[in-house]
Order: sequence, then structure tokens, then C-alpha cells
Amino acid sequence: MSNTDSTTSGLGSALRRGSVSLLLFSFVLCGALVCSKVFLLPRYTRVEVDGKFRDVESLRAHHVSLQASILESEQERDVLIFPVHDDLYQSLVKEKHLQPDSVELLKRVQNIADQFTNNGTRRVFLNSLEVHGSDRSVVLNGDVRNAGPRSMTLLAQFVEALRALPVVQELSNPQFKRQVNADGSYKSPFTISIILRS
Amino acid sequence: MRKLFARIPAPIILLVGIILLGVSGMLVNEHVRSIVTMRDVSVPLIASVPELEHRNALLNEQIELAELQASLRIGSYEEQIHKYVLPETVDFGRLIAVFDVLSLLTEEHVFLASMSPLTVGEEVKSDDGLQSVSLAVSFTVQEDGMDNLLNFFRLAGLVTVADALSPAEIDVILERIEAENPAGIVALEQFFSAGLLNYSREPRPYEESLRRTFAGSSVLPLLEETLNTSLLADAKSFLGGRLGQVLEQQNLWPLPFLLAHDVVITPGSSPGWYTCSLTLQHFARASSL
Repeated sequence: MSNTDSTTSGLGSALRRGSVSLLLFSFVLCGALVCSKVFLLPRYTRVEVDGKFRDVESLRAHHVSLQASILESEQERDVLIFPVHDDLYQSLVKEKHLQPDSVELLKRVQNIADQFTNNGTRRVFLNSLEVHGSDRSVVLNGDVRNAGPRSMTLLAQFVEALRALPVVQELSNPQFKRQVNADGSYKSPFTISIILRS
Repeated sequence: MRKLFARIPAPIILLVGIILLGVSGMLVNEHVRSIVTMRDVSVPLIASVPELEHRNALLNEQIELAELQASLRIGSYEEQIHKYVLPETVDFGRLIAVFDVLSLLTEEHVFLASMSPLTVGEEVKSDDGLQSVSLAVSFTVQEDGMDNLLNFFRLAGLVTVADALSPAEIDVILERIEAENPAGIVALEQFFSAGLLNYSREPRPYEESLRRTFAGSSVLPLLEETLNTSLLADAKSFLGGRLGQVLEQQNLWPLPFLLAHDVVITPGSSPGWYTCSLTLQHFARASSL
């Protein structure tokens, strides 16, 4: 019985000593960290910008206000350097600049069509090029001739070459068909719809 | 000290010790977070702030110079725009006169062979404060002349040099001037404010002024490239000739605002010739009544 009592009192004393040590260690650590948080952390996480010491939040706010000020200054400068400040006029001028360049487009399409010429014989013929400025859409009509029964294959190659143009955003495949002319030759008429990149 | 703790039960001392250890853990975590935020957020912000401050100072400097220059500007383009480009009502007389001038070109320019009758549609009001009239017309043109013809309609309604440059072209020029020669904004402002027809007919004084201001800087090659590749180059080649003279003589400049909405190009009967059918829109201000 007395042995058990002494064992219990020994364990209790060990627990008490351990607890006191833990408490003292935690207290000192916590105190040091609180001091660091109050005195050291602000000192080493603040930076001097524009003559003021700023923490992260203040720095972020300063950055945002600088960006806003730049935007405002840019607008003010633009008002001063551009002589016309009529909003209706300006919006129409912007719309004008967004219009696709029909001639440039025709040249590019013709260049591609020319690549399919074989021994001086044209094989891709363009009947019309319609450019609609409002939705930047283009409709291309024509046909592939002088290619024998391969006219549909050539049309597919022509479509792929058009699709690879940087100005093309979307291209709807035409109907692939082959017609036999009265003289026994083949042709593949096509209508290709394109949406241009803005 | 031993006496002090002797009176407190051991489990309570243990509990307080654990709580303090937990608080210490949280404080360590906060320290780590502060340092990580410093590294990830503050350092990049600190790096960009001087650049932003420099840019802001440059812009303010440019504003001061531009204000001075703007105060010296004589005449208002807005009046011309209200009267001729976007009038209160559609001025059919002036509009048809423009096509009269174009049809005269068929006799003088080899690139334009014929012009079809002009079909004028009804006036349509839109919600954005504008009314528009559609016009349909076809031209028989040579391949090279198609550029000129379509450029004529791209130029129709533009008043100043700045209007003939796209927003992207202007942004690039402004960025470069800001970086290289902020004071050059004065010369640029003078250039932008030049009348498009005046510039097209006599571009040298305007371009020489730019060359003098930006000599030796990388702005000059950019400006030269813009002058040679933008709509300004087309304006010079087209309005700088007989057409510009006729438009000025007949008091048709600035032209009414025209937008080529639909363009249909079909090969003509002779090689190298095309039929160019256009659906144009002319705009006027919609009256509030």
C-alpha cells in the first residue's frame, strides 16, 4: 500500500515538474513572440515608400491609388492632345477603324487561290467576296475547276489554307460537291462563310 | 516560485502550458505568413511603385505641356463636325455632291471606269442618338483602284490627322514618346490637331516638325513607319492629288461621315477589273423631338 502511495506521489511530482517546465517554456516563448510581433515584425515588414513607412495593406492601397491616378492623367492628357471631343463622332471613328479591310482580304484570298494554279492553269476561281462590316463576316463564292475528279480534294485544301489565315476566327465548311459540266469536265462550286478576328 | 506553483493543481499548470504553447504556435504562424506576404506581395509592389511614380510624374509633365499647347489652338473642329460631318439633319445636297465628285473621277482616273446610279434608302433613327441613311452604289474599278475607292470611304468623315490613326497606332506612339521624350507630346499634339486635308495636300511641314522633335530617338522610326503604313499614307496619296483639290474647291471638305457596311467584290468582264458594290451608311444626329 505504502509502495503504491509512493509511486502515485512520484508520478504526481513528475507531472507537476513537467507541467511547470512546459508552462515556463511556453510562457517565455509566447512572451518573446508577442514582443517580436509588437516591436520587430512591424519594423521589418514595413517599407519606406514616398517618405512614409507602409505595411502591406497600405502599400497595396498606395499602388492602387497610383494606378488610378495614372489612368486619370492619361484620360486628361488624351482630352488635351486630341482636338475633337464629340462622343458620337469619336464612337463612329472607332467603328470605322474596326471595319475589315476588304481589299487586303481579297488580296490574301487571291494569293491562296493562286497557289493552286498548276502549269499556268487556274483551278480556284472566285466569283464574289462579300464583306459585312457590322458583324465582320465574309462570304466567299466561287468554284474549283480544271482539276479533273480531284476538284473536291482541292476545295478541301483551299478551305484549310483559308482557315490558317491569321485574320480568320471562324470558318464554316462549304458543301463539298462535284458537278459534271456539259463538256465532261468537273467543277466544285463553293460558298464559304468566314468570321474575321476583331 | 516552487511555492507559487505548489498551490496550483498540476493539471491546470499543464493546461495553461499547453494553451500558451498553442498561442505561441499561432504567433509563429503569423510571423511566417507576414514574411511570406512580404516576399510575395510587398517586394513586387515595391519594385513597381517607383516605375508607376515616374510614369505619373511624366504624365503630369505632359499634361502641363499639352495644356499650354491646347490654349494656343485656334479654331474648333467640333463646329465643322456639327455642320458637315454629323449634321443635325441629313444634308442630301452635300451627300450627293460627294458622289458627283466621285463620278467626275471616272473621266480623270484610269482606275475608276464607271459608277452606277446611287440608291438612297430611308432615314432610320437608332437609340444611340444617331440617324442613318443607307446608300447603295456600284463602281467598276481596276484592282489597284479598289484600294483608292475604299480608302475614300474610309476617309469620309475624318477631320484631323489623329482621326486617321487607329487607337492601337496612337497607343504605341504615346507609349514610346512617354518612355523616350515626354516633352515631345507638344509636337505630337500639333501633329494630331492638323486638319487631315491640309496634311494630305502639304504633308512636309508637319512631318519635318516631327522629324526635328524626335531626331535621334527611337520614336522617329516608329512615326515614319506609322506615316507610311497607316491610313495617313492612303490619305496623302489620294487626297493629296486632284481629288483633294476638287473637294476643297467645291467646299466639300470635311466629307459627310460614311461607313462602308457591306462590300461585295466581283470580278469584272475584263481581266484586272472588278465590280465593287457598296452599301454605305451616312450618319446624322437624331433630333431629340
